[in-house]
Amino acid sequence: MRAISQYGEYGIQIQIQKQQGMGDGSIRITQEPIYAKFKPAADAAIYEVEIERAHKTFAFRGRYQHIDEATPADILYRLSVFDTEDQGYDEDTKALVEARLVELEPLNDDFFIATEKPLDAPYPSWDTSEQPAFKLVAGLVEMGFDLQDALSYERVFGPRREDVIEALEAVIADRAQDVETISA
Amino acid sequence: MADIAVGQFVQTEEFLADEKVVDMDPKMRKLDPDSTQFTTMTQKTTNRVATREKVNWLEEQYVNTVITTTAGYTAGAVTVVVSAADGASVQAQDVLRNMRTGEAMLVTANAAGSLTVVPSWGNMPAASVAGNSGDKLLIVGDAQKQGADIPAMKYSQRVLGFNYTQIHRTSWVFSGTATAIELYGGREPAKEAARKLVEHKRKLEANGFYGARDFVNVIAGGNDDVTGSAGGLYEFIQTNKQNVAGELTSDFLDQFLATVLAKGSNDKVIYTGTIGAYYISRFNRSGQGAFWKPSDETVHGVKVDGFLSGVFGTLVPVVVKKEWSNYPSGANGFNGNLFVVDISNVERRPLRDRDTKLLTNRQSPGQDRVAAEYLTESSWTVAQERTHGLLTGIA
Repeated sequence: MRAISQYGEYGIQIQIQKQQGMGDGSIRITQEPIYAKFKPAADAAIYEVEIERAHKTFAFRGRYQHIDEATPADILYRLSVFDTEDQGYDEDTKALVEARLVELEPLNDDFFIATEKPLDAPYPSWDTSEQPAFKLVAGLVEMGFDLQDALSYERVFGPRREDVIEALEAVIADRAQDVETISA
Repeated sequence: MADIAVGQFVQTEEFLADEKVVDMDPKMRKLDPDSTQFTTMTQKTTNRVATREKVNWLEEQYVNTVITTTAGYTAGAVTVVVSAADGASVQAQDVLRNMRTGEAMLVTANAAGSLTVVPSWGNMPAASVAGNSGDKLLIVGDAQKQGADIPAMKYSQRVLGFNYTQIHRTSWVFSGTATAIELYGGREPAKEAARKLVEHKRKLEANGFYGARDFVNVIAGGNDDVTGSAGGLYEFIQTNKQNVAGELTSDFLDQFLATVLAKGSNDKVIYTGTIGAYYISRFNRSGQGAFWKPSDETVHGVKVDGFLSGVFGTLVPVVVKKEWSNYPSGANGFNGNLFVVDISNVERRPLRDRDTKLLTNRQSPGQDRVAAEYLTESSWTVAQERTHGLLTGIA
């Protein structure tokens, strides 16, 4: 799940840290905290469709102007993104964080959950297809799809099936080798 | 005249109501004492006259020296890709160092963020190391060739912050008769004038925190339909804003302060609603360390409620905004807010000859009334918004 905020260093406390004083100045943490720390746009990729939605969703109060006193400053530097896939969470933690984000989203205009996929699936039933990986990839080759786009989609926005990713990588690598052999 | 009543004794209810002298305490009991610390603090520190209805300030920063790769690269690769925005900070002959791998590289060309580099510059580490997407590269500096021409300039464009002046008016009107009669606690309109002054100051204070910047000229409305509105801290803090979404812990507060205190001056002041103050003062008692030092010291002419032992060893004065307890707390209640303000980057900007003044005799000629008002036209400069911070949702 990806969430986009209109604040550059936005953060949400998902689970508080609980700790016990040990009497010697040290503490024992009895519950690890979970903080959703959004990454500023300068440090993370924010896709065109997400920027477009940010323009429509957020008010961007207190916006700067350029020296002409008319052109508003670009909003990109003000955006930040939090992707639950990039945090190294286990399944339970990921579910907890995502549930909390869904709960908090409607309460204010600090962030929205990105529902648009910046890349489309090769075809509508791609995500749910139960065909073996090699058949899926063979179908793409036969129909002339861009395999690199299909791989990017499967890795980031698709169901992330390991066998499909491996099959796509193998075909892309084979094709690259063929090109090198021909040019040599 | 009524007949004389004959009885055994006289109790209090035999007297006429207007016969009894009222036991009225002449001291007026106030629900909320005057607490406009932010306005007072900015009056004492940075208070500069505005000369028109729009105030501007220029903001600049130095050329960026940390860039981020947007794609991985293999060991020994001669192309490293960063975003086009980051690429604008890089020129040929710049020396970069990957902060994760330690490998340095020399840039020989830059095409919109696609950098051609000499890997393993300085032979450290001896073998080049693959880079990941998202690696941070430090622009260490430039290593120019002997006898080379002057390098191209790197220019970080300045931006313009702006705000508008807002007219605040607080009035009171009494009939001539109402001002002439005797009243407990003093006569009117003096008594009301004192109350209205506090209300007026509180309007200015609320504007400093929560004002909305706008300027509306309704063309069809003629000359009387122009309204300016000054934005406050809530409007301008756009980077360091975090949602506590419940209990404020010392760990979360410290992480937040580490970000805010890293920028701007050390002259920071925390203004918090009563919920935030409750959690901060509770840190000491709930095994979260001795963060809170109660105090009645004065900072910038204002008595503060205590000091918070923040990160970097900084003692940050804390002002508790008791009047915010009238607001709700939680997800969207302003009593759950905690502002960290860099006082050196905030200025109160009263318009020339329009700072707070008492204007009397405001009634129309011929009216048997006494009318007066307090009037202030002012704005705020809230510069370098990254030096301030806002925590919301403390509940």
